[in-house]
Amino acid sequence: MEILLDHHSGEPIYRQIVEAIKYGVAANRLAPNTQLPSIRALAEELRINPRTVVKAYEELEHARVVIMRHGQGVFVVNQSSTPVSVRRLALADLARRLLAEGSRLGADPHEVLTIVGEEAARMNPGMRRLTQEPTLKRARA
Amino acid sequence: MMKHPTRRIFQPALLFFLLRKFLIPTGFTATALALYTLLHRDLLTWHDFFPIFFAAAHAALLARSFGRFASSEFAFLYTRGFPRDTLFLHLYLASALSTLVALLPTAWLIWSGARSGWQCQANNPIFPAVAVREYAIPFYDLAWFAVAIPAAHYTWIRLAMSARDRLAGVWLVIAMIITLLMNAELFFQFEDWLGDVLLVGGVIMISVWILGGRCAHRDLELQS
Amino acid sequence: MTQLHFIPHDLGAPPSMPPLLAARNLSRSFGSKHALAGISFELRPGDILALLGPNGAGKTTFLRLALGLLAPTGGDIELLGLSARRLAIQGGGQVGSLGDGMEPPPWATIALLESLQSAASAHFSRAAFRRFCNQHSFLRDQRFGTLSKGQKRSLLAALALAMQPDVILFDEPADGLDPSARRELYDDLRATVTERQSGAIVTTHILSDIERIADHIVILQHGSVIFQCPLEDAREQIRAIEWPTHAGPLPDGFFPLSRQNLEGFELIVARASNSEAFDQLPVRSRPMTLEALYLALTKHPVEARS
Repeated sequence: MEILLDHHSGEPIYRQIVEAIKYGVAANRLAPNTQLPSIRALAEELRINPRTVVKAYEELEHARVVIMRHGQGVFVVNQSSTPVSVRRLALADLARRLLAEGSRLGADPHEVLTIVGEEAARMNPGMRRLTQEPTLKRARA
Repeated sequence: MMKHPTRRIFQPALLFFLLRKFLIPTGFTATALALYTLLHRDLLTWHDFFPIFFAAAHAALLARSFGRFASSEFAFLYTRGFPRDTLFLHLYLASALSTLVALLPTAWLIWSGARSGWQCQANNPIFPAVAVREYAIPFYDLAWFAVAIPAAHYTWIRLAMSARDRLAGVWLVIAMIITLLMNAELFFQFEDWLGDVLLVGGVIMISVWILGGRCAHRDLELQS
Repeated sequence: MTQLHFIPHDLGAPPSMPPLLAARNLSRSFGSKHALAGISFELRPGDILALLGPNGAGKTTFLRLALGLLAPTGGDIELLGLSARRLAIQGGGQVGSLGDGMEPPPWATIALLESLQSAASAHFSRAAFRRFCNQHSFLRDQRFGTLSKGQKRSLLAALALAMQPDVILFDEPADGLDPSARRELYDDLRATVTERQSGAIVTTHILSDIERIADHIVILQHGSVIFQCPLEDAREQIRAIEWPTHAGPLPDGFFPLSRQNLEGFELIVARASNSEAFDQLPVRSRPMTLEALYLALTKHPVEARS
């Protein structure tokens, strides 16, 4: 799976890696038990300091998305419910930011929820079909 | 067991680099000295003006070629990782070789009899009789180079010290050089004993310039 | 002369390992001119440190001090456990460098430069250097003076990296290079630094390159360090806040680094413990590019209150 980094966005690189992997797991592109690149290999591929990869993998392990097995490598956690739980985490993050932004704009959570509902109804039917697809092809990490 | 190449004292690549740097001064001095040696009509003596002048000029050219410490090339050479003493040693090796090469034509002209032959051709009455008395001249020329070069290098090295250290030594060198360049004939009337004094004094000064130079060379600074 | 809050940074490498380079209250004056006035920072193995600052801030002076070409007039600077001067006197090729004002003579051939560098450095890799020359179609008997400005830089960079040094000091290494050549140079640098766990200090005006390559940022102005921070921390902890004028001070936990009065609000660059903290603010905040941060810190710094 490709991780595309944006060095100029002001977003920490380790966080971009974490998000990319979480997203991959949540979207079922990274299946449980998939082995992720070693710290050295990923650092080399992304051309970054290995310590940044370490930080990303540690955060992912802390969030129970991956597990680091000594001598073997880094693996996506083997839980059948992983995609859902990780997806929840990612969405909760986005929701928190949306609510915070809404509050800054003077809206209360209720108004935000109403608008989310309206947008969901208006959502591109094509997109809905895509998300209802039972399984996506499992790409190699 | 073979010494690791960079712990070797002698570095051919560095020497070659410096000799290439000294190519033009070497060429000029070789040519100038050779012409002088060929064409000078009077008996050559150890205290002739032009050989002394050429020695001083050659030394100044070498010092200028190498020792422009504010220059880009100097900074490049000094940041390659050569030990300071290695650079100092090779500076002198290259200067010595440059000198020998510059003196080669002169020595050949005198020792092969070419000068004598040329002077005879030009109807110089003292030749070929005095030719024998000139055989030692290349060595005297060498001696003047041996004095001038350490003096010149000592000068630029002291100038490369931080400002407060610059004064001592440089003025002494300058004073000596000016004195030497003044009319040599007039100055060196009493040949025999003055020659000995100069020889001893010269050896002392050369040692001071070389040893002091090596010490100061470790501490030189590139200030632009 | 304003001084910002000096925020100590987490260096990340095991503290037991000695730094590759350490400047401690380093100062250098030229007569009455203070080129550097007491700067302190460290370079740890595996790290690339970017030294930023306007022209005349003291970056070139720092480089010369680090290379042992100048002596400090105050404080000290150590590389690999030795004073920079001592290391320069001793030699050995553990420090690879490149910069303006450090160029070989134009008549020098590439082959001669290779021999020269090989003679000076204990670990010079002729193979690596030749590989570079082949990739860039440099011929061994080509003279340095015939190369373009960018080619000269990349050749000298390759020469320095082939030394396999422990400390790399690059002053504007990408000057004159097009974007793909710049990318290649910095990729090589990163690969070298990671593989050998060496360290590099880079100065450049191209901040977008710094965003790609740097682990640490040190900003110099008028000879002092006005800001230093790991880049990832800066991304995590520093944001620009649009704070309404007359809204009072920032809440606890936010440290202003820069303030700029604009129409109806203040643009405050502030540091907090992490990015979540900014979500708690009642106003918008944005992450910043390095360029924006640099400009804010150098042009509109906050006076230190002590």
